[in-house]
Amino acid sequence: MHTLQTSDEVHDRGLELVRDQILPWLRDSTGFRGLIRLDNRSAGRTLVVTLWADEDALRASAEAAERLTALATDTSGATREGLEEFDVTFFDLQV
Amino acid sequence: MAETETPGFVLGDEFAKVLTETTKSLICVLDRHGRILFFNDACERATGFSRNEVLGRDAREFVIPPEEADAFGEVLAYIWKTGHSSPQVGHWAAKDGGRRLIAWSNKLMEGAQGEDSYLVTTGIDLTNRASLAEEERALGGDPEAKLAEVGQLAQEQRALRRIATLVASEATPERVFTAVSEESARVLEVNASAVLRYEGDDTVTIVGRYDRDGIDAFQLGSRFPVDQNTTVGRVLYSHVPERIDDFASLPGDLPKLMLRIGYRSTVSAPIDVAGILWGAITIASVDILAAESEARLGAFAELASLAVASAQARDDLRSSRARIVRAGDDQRRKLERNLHDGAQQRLVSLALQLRLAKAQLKTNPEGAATSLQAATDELDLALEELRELARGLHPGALTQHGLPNAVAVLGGRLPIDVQIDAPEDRFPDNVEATAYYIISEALTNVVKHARANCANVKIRRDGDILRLQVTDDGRGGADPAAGSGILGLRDRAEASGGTLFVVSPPSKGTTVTAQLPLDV
Repeated sequence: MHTLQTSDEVHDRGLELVRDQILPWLRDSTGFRGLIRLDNRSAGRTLVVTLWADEDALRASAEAAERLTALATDTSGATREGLEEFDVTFFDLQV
Repeated sequence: MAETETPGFVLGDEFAKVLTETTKSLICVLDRHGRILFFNDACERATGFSRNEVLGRDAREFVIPPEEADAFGEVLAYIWKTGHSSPQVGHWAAKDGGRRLIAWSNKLMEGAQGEDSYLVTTGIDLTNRASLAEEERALGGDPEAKLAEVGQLAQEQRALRRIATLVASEATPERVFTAVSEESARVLEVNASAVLRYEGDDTVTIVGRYDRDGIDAFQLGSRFPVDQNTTVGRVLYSHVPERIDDFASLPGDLPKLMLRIGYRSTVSAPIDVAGILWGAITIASVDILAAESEARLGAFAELASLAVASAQARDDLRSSRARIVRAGDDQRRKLERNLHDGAQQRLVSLALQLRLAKAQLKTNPEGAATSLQAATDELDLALEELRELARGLHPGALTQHGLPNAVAVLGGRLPIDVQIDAPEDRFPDNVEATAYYIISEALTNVVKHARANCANVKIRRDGDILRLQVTDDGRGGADPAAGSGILGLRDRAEASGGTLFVVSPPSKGTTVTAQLPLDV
């Protein structure tokens, strides 16, 4: 999970970069399961969660994914605050 | 016929009756099912069976010995199928269990209207003849022995024909091996028989089996160690048929098991496939096996090995095809991964860096310059990775400059010293590609596994054959069964009609030798 500090303008640019540049590449990565982006505009904070099949899949793509995310963050003008890993212990999504 | 008859004498029923009663020849009439319709006095005298006992019954229940029952059935079928009959020599079983040796001549007799025909057989009992000089000359030796031998040969031939028919019908190797076991047990008249395959690690696997007593032990697929306490183990070292008659004096689990089952005697004979010891046929018996068992089983195994070879070859072909398809799939998957993790990722980075540079252009020109430099570096890397991938697919140097050059380029990129000894001649595209693939895989293996300092590549043209040899000074001990590397190389060589061998004694380096035909 990436935690970013963003502004409105940065937010829009970042969204476009994620959707058009990074996501198509991520989707072809082994064990990639999905991406969730959460924004709190008033606080200027964005959370980007990428979901992976297992730890091995995460490790296999970690380096490249990190490089691309870092670059996308810089390009959009946001500031990276943190990168953390979590285990998914419960997941229920109805679409 | 009429002109040979003396006036007043009629060749009729009465004459036939008198003749069959008075002659010393055995006269017997059979129907197409082998049932006895007529059995004359001579037959009664020779066998001890009475007419009342045998009339209307199958000859195989009385006078045909069990070991000749199959042959008897085949002769009947042949005569009714073709209408031709030929003289036969065979045994009849007497009521007291003895055997009579009888020479027969046969003729089909038309049945009355609408009825089936009959086989009239007349026989001369040879058993008690004092002098068999005539027959001896004809048969060249003791006629009993000769007859037994001919009978045995015929039985072996029939057994082999049944196996060959199975092989021709593309039966699975399991069925062929089972048939080989069954036929060898039948031909040698033993309790049990098995086809065993040497696994290259001092064990054998039972790949075909037959036993007539319903023994639980030695099931299909089971594996056991081969040592000097087993005949299969002895065959592995001697390459000739081996016998054990006394398991009680031998140590180990297997002799114990044989004793427990009650087998007293076993003989194993080698099965060679393409000149290499592939496995063995083993027979086991509760009685001591006859002295000639080694020779007979050896001869049978030699002939059966042809069937085993074709069944095995077909099986090998099937699995090598499957491996080639799988290798192709793996290759494509690897290629997709390489593109995704390599060049694609670089190009996504590049796109991001160019956007960053564009954003920085007005406000932060220095930052923009840095981003552009990073983008240029990224592009160089992407290009290099794509080149690398393309070379892996098919080396450009191979098409343009030929095999020695392409191998030199390849060797130059490896972290070991590669010496190349090759003619500058060009060969057909597919041969060059296969040769390059084999050399490149072999060298990759040297780098990955051999812990070698240098490798030697030799390429020689020898008539219509291109010979390749890759040797290294590494630790050796490469196992063809482990991993698919060596199997993949062999598949590739065999797919183009060639052969490939790997010699890899521990700590003596590894040599990969391949022969590729140039005319395919």
